This record gives sequence, structure tokens and C-alpha cells, in this order.
Amino acid sequence: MLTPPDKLNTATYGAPTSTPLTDDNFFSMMAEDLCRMAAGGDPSDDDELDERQAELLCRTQFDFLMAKVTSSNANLRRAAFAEQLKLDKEGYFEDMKAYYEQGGTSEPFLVTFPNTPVQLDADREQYYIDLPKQFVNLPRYKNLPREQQAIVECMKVVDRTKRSYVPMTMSQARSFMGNHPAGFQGDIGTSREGAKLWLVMPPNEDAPDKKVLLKVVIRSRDEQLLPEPGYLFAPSYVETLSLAWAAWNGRGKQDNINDANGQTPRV
Amino acid sequence: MPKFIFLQHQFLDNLLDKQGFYRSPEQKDEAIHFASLSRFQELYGDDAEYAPGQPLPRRAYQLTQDISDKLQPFLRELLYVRPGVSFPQDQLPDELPAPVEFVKKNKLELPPDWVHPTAMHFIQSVDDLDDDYSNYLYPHADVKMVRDDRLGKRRRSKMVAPTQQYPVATIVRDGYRFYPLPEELLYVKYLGRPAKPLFKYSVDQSTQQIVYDDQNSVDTGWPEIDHNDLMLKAAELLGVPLQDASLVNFARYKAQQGA
Repeated sequence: MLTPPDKLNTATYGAPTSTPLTDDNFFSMMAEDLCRMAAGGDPSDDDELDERQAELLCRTQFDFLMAKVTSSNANLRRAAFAEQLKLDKEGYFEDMKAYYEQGGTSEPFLVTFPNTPVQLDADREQYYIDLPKQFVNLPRYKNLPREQQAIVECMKVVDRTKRSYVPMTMSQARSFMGNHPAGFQGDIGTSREGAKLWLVMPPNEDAPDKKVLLKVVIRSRDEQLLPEPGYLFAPSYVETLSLAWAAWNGRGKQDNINDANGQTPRV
Repeated sequence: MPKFIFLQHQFLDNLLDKQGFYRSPEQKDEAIHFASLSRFQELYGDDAEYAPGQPLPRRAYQLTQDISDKLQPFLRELLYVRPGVSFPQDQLPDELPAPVEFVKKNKLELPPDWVHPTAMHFIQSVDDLDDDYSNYLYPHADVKMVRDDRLGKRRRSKMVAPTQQYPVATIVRDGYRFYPLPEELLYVKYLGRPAKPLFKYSVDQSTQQIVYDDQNSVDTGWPEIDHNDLMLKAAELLGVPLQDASLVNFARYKAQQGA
């Protein structure tokens, strides 16, 4: 007794079948379908079309369609990428212009990360803070840097009167470590290396804060992001089957005269 | 109830008597046999109607359910087993005959009453069947008949080479040859020739009367519904003029009675 399928595959096929269409039986069902079309009913051993040939026809046509889909999607993706690159470049210079020519426009884009943990790198015996991904991954144009501003503060207002975190370049940090200036007693430098912000402070001292307030400038890129291009989807069952059907019907007629000389004209 | 052959002879006697003819039981047997074969041929398919582009005649086995039902008494089943293969014989359905071995490598020797195969399947034991069914009623692969001039290319084909899943066969003298040989069993269903009728009798020496021997008589096997046609043909063969309406009516009357 046939058990009814647990799921009617109406999405792809449009009609319930005794076996639901799956990725595993996609081609064997399509081959059977093609055989049924060729036979005009239940296939029999009188049919010229062998199931294996039918499956090969279907696979070939599927691959043919798939190649078109893949190449079309690659072209779309390439065009979208080029367009996005152009937009990114324009956006970068707009931001730079706003920052240098008009000044002070970073503040509205400051994003605050409270309770950012201060971690210890045991090998370097130095404390650091992980910069947030959104900040590190900001798009750049070629080798020009993007936003660099990262401000570290003590969590509590009271502590801020005792010490401040001073942004430094790497050479400033090196000099600060060797020769701690009197005016900066108690202050801590911060120097960026890639995705980390290292604390610059006298050696053999523990970091005074376990958690700090981190402020970084992140200008939103959302309005500059293009929507996903309109990709083509994988070839459908019906599309593949109709191509396979056309391929089968386009064949020559069988030479039914048993003369074995291959000279009988095809009719 | 006596066998049909008795009633058929009685019926033919009546027709012959009416015309003042006499035919021996052997002559009547012959006439019934010819009528039977002629009827079989008529239903099974007239050769002249097979034409290019016309693969089926107007009347043929399994063309309509009606014809298949009429030919059903002549269907036979056979099982051939690959030499050296053992299998549980008790799993065979009761109605199937015991399997016979392929006698010559991959050639199937035809039984004497062979007319035409209607199905040839490879059968393999499988474990996942319901208990309601026997393994040996489930075809594993259908055998495709290929023309003589196609076998070589088939065997070399990268796409449609014969395998256990897709076996092929060609016709040879007195049999069929299979590529490849089935791993276990070959099931064959075929249309067999109708049996030759036999009106077995002895002559009572004292009365010189024919004494019918029902036990050893043989029927043709046709279902009752076809006896009418059969008798009219036999009567015609025996020389009874059938223009007589009363005879035709009589034949119909006997047919209704089941003769």
C-alpha cells in the first residue's frame, strides 16, 4: 500500500506526487517525467528513450541553464561591486572634507562602549583594550586611513579627575614609556595597533581600571550601501524539463530498415 | 458436469444431424482445434495489421481489458534460475511453477506451447517488503527486447549498456538470450497456445455405441463467453451451411446455456 507523502511538493512541481521531490531524487524524478512524456503514459520496454539517457538529458540541460545563471549572477555581482567601490570613494572624500575643512564634525558620530574590559597580554606584560569590530572594519579608500579617533575614559566621573587617557602615536608612546614626563604623572597613554589599543604606562604597574569607557567615531555607511543586485535563481524543474523535452524531440528519426549500411535516408 | 468438449461435440452433432451429415469425433476435435487457434489468432493480433508507424493491430492482447480477459486462460508463468543460485523455495507463491535452470548459459529455452512473452523481469530477493507480498511477485528490472542490429552498440554503450538494473534480451532460434544473466531469477509471463481438444471415448462392443470418457478428455480452455464463436467456426469448418437462421438461433440458445 502506498503511504501518502508527508509533504506535498507544490512549490517546485505544482502537483502532489507519490514521492516528494528532493535534492536527492531531483534528476531521477525528472528523468521519469521525461520518459512519461515521451511514452505518453506509463513507460514500457517498447520506448526508445532509456531512463539513463533521459537523466543525462536532464542533467545536461540543467548544467546549461546553471552556467547561464552563474555567469549572469557573477556579472551582476561584479557591476554592483564596482558601483559600491565608486560610492565608497566618494563617501570617503566627503567625510575627509567635512572633517578637515569644517572641523569638529566627529562628535555627532561618537559611539560609546561602556564597561569595555582592560585585558593583560601576559607575553608583552602590557594592558590593552579590544577595539569594536564596527570601528576596525570601517571601509577605507586604498591605503588612506579611515576614522582613527578612539577616546578612552574612566568609567566614574570621580576617577576622571585623577587620571586621564591620552591618545598617542607609537613614537610618542615609546618616548613616554622611557621618560615619564612630570606633567603627566598618573596619566595613561593609549596607542593603537590594528584592532587593539595598548595602554602606555610605567612598567610593573597594574592597570588602575578594570573597565573603561570607550568612545569611537563610526560614521554610518548604511545610506551608501547599494541593495542586493537582482540575482537569477537556480533553473526551475519545469524550465529544465522543457529544454530536455525539446532536446529529445529534436533528435533524428530511427532508421528502421535493417540494412545495416547506414545509407537509408532519414525521414 | 461434463467437460465442455462433451457439450461442444453434442452441439456439433445436432447441427450435423440436421444437415444429415456425419463426422467422426476426431474430425470434430480437429475442427474445434482449428476454430480455437483461429479465435486465438484473431484476438492475439493479426500480423497483417502490423505496419510501419502502426505498432499495434486493431485487436491485440492488452489493447483492451476485454481482450486481455478473454486471453487470460492462456497466460502462463515461468521462473528460470541462474545455475548454482540457491534461494528459499518456500517463499515462492503457490501458483508459480518451480524454477528451472537456464540450460545453455544465458539462453532461455522456450516451452512447447510458447506463443509470445508478455513480461520478462529479473527478480531479486529484497528484505524490506511487507509480509503480505512475496519477493517473487516484485519485478526488480524489466527486460527490454533489442533488435539484433542494436545489441553490439548497446553492449559497448557508455550510457545504456545492459546491467542488472537495465537488462536486455535478443531473440534467437528457439529462445531468448539475456544480457546479462539475472543474478537470481528470471520471471517470464507468456501467452501459451490453446490446448488441443480431445474427445476421449471408447466403443461399447455390445451396442457399438460411443462411450465418452470425461476423465481423459481435454478442453481448449476458452471461457464460456467465447464458445459461441468457437462453435460457429467449427461448424463452418465441418461444412455446415450457417445461412440457416434457425441454426444461428440454436447456437445462441446453446451459448446461453453455457455450451
